[in-house]
Parts: sequence; C-alpha cells; structure tokens
Amino acid sequence: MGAYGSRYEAIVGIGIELFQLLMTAYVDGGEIMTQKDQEWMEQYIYQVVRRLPKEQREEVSMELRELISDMLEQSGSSESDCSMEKVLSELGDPAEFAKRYRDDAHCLIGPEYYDTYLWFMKIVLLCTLISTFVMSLLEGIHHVVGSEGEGYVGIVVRTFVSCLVNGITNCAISCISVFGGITIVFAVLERQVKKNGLRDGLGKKVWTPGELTSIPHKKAMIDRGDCIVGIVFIVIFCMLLIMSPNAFSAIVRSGANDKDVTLVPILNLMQWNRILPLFVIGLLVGLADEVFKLIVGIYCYKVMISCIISGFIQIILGSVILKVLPFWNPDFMIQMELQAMKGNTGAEFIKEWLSGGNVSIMSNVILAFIILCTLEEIGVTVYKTIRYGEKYSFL
Amino acid sequence: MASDKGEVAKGGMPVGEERDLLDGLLLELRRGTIVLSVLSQMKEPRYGYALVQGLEEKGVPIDPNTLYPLLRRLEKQGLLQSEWETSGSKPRKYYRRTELGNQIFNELRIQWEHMAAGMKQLLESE
Repeated sequence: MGAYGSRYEAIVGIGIELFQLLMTAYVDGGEIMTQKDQEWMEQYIYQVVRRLPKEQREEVSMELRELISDMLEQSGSSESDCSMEKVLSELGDPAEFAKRYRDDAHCLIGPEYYDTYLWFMKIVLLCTLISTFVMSLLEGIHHVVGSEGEGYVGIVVRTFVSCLVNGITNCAISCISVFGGITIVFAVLERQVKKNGLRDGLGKKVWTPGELTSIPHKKAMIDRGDCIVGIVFIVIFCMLLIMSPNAFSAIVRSGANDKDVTLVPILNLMQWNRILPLFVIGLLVGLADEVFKLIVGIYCYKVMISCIISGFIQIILGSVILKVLPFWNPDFMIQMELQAMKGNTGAEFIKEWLSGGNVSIMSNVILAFIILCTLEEIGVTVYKTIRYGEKYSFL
Repeated sequence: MASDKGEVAKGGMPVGEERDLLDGLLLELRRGTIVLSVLSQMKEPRYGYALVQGLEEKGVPIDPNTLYPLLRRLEKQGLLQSEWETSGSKPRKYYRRTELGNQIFNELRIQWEHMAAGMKQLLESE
C-alpha cells in the first residue's frame, strides 16, 4: 500500500509540476489571454492582413501577434477584464492600419498623370458627347424620313422623340465606354512607365532656366475651341461614312401630296469598299493634325509641318477619291429619271442639271473647295508661325 | 487669429475647426521627425513594442499602428535589418540599423541640428 501510495503521489506530483510548468510557460509567454481574447486578436489580425499582398500576410500576422500580446501584457497589469478591447481600440480601424502597411499609393491614376488624364478626358468626352448626339440626331431624321409618311406633325414629333431617346442613350453608353477606355489606358501606361523606370530616365534630365521660353504671343496660341470643333466634325463625318453612307442621299418625294418618300444614294455604295478606306485615312490624318495642334497649343514649326503634311495628304486623297475612283452613284441618273417620270419636278430639275457632264463639274467644284480650304489653313498656319510662333519652335 | 468660422476660447486653446486645423498641422510637423526618431533608437537590436515604450518615455510618443508599418518600410529601404528571435517564450522581431542606416542616420542628424538651430533663431526673433 505504501509503495502504491508513494507511486501515486509521485505521479500526481509530476502531474502537478507539469501543469505548473505549462501554466508558467503560458503566462511567461505573455499570453494571459482567454479564448475570447485570442479569437478577437485573430479576427483583428485577419482584418488587417486580408488587405495586404499575399506575400506579406504571414509575417505581418506574426508581427501583430507580438505587438498585441505585448500591449495586452502592458495594459493587463493595471486593468482586468476588457483589456483586449482596449488594446484593439487603441490600434484602431484595421483598414486604416492596413493602409499604413501598404506603402504604394493605391490610386488608379497617380497625381503625376492626373492633370493630363483630366484634361484629356474632358476633351475626349466633349468630342464624344457632341458627335454621338449629332449622329443620333441624323440617324433619327434619316430613319423617320425613310419610313412611310403619315403627316407632317406626326413625323416631326416622332423624329424629335426618337432623336432625344436615341441621343441620350447613345451619349450615356459612349461616354461610359470612353471614360472606361481612357482610364484603363492611363492606368496601364502609368504602371508600365513605373515598372520600366522610364520616368527615372526622364526625371534625371536636369532642368535649366535656359529651357524657359518667352511667354507666347496671344496670336500664336491655337484656339482650343477650333480644334475641338474640327475634331468633332471629323469624327461625325467619319462615323457617318462608316456606319450609314446612306445618309448621303437625295430625298425625293413624289406621288399625290408628296407622300412617297424615296432615298436615292448619291455615293457609289457598290464600290464603297474601295472608297471608304481612303476616305477614312484622309479623315484620320486630319484628326491626327487637329489632336497634335490641341496638344501643342501654340503655332510653331512642328505644328506647321504637321499641317502641311496632313494638308497635302488630304488633297491627294481627295483627288484620288473624286477623280480616279467611281465616287458617285452611277445609277443616280436612272433613279432620278424614274422619279421624274413619276412627276417629281425636283428630280426632273436635278436630272436636267446633271446630264451633260455636270457630274465631273461637281467633282471638280468639290475638289477645288477641298483644296482651297486646305490651302487656306496651311496659309494661316504658316503665316502665324512665321509672324508670331517662330520663337516657340523648339517646344 | 479669430475668424468667422472658428472661435478661439479665452485661454487661447482653439476649438472646433481650428482645433482640427491645428491637429492636422501638428501631425504634419511630427511626421517629418518620425523617421529620425526611430532611426536614433536602433543602434542596438530592439523589438517593436520596446521601441514604442522607449519613445514614449522620452516624450516622443508614436502610435504602434504608425511604427510597425514604418519599421517594415525602413527595412525595405535598407536602413534597418530584422531578425526573428524564436528562442524566447514567444517569437519577437528585432530590428537594428544597417551600415547604410548608420550613414543616413548620421547625415539626417547633422541636417536636423542645422534645422533646429535655424528654427530656434527664427522663433526667437519673432
């Protein structure tokens, strides 16, 4: 019995010692934490690290466990129950904490590019808004005119309503896409630039006062409004040519009370696949020139050269389109004749006027008009550059 | 300094919006000195919370949620190096200045002394 007793005591003794050892280790570790405290701590840490990059999470968790238990130890010595609550509220919002751990500025467009982004966005949105609205307007008119007539007032009201509805929807859709597109492009570009360290290379160029240019003469400034009008016009024209070349049609009314409405296309839609690319290239060259002017903002040699090059390209393309390619609808005459036979005086008149080689005269008149406009623009640009803008040519 | 928006109480302590303004400015003022104060304490290896307490005792308190991220940033910049000490009862991360950290710290200290002297002159001549 005695042997048993001593053995029993020994076992119990060891057990108690072990327990005490464990307890001291537990307290030594500073973890005078209840299960609930532990839970709270882990929840807090989780709320911080889930907002951090994966590769940082584990280490930050360890750091925070160390910190929180240190803080708890400190406050636990003076107070009793709710010390974990106190510690966590001292550390504050986990989201805020996580933000401090992330050193890189978390914004889509950084401050460095923000001004450019905003400027660019405003202009592109403006252009998109105006061109989309005008397009919708034209399309609406076209649609209504093309449908069966049912009285003047009905047509006007329907045109108005459909234009408004279409215009607003199209504007909303295109503005949202443009907004998204520009934002993505800027965000990607900025990240690329940062990654490749392109900015460092550029940034190291030491600025000297020699780079200062004299303040531009008022007349050397390019009117932004003009550029925007030009861009909008080109975009609208381009969209019309691509999406609905039918818009360029003669509207012929015939029959009793002019109730039958027929659209006779002026352009050669059969050959459109050959004509359209040249047309679009010409317009895009013009667009590039306008955008360049908008960016530079001052008449200088670069703008002048861009203007001359784009002008000549446009003249050449214009000549090819009007004089070489079969630009006009070859059936126009036949269709007009058909309408004239139905008793339409307008068609009769047009037919009379166009017969006898007037088609080529029309081509020539339009071409001359294009050339004149282009030369006028080149002339103005050259004059303003030489007269006022020379000094800024190294811009 | 009385404005129509905020009022200054009799004792000169600002209230309301001016209080916020003052807090913001103070925060900015402290922010500039945090790196230097942390670097100054890192000659010998120390762990985060000891640093919090040490700085507080010396009258330069810094919030743990500012200090911990800062230590990591300084390590990333190569001014501090860290080591996990696991032999104790719980794992602790010890930070200390690197060679680069020493150089930068000395440089910053000289600059700070110039700045403090300059500021002193400015404020005394006020």
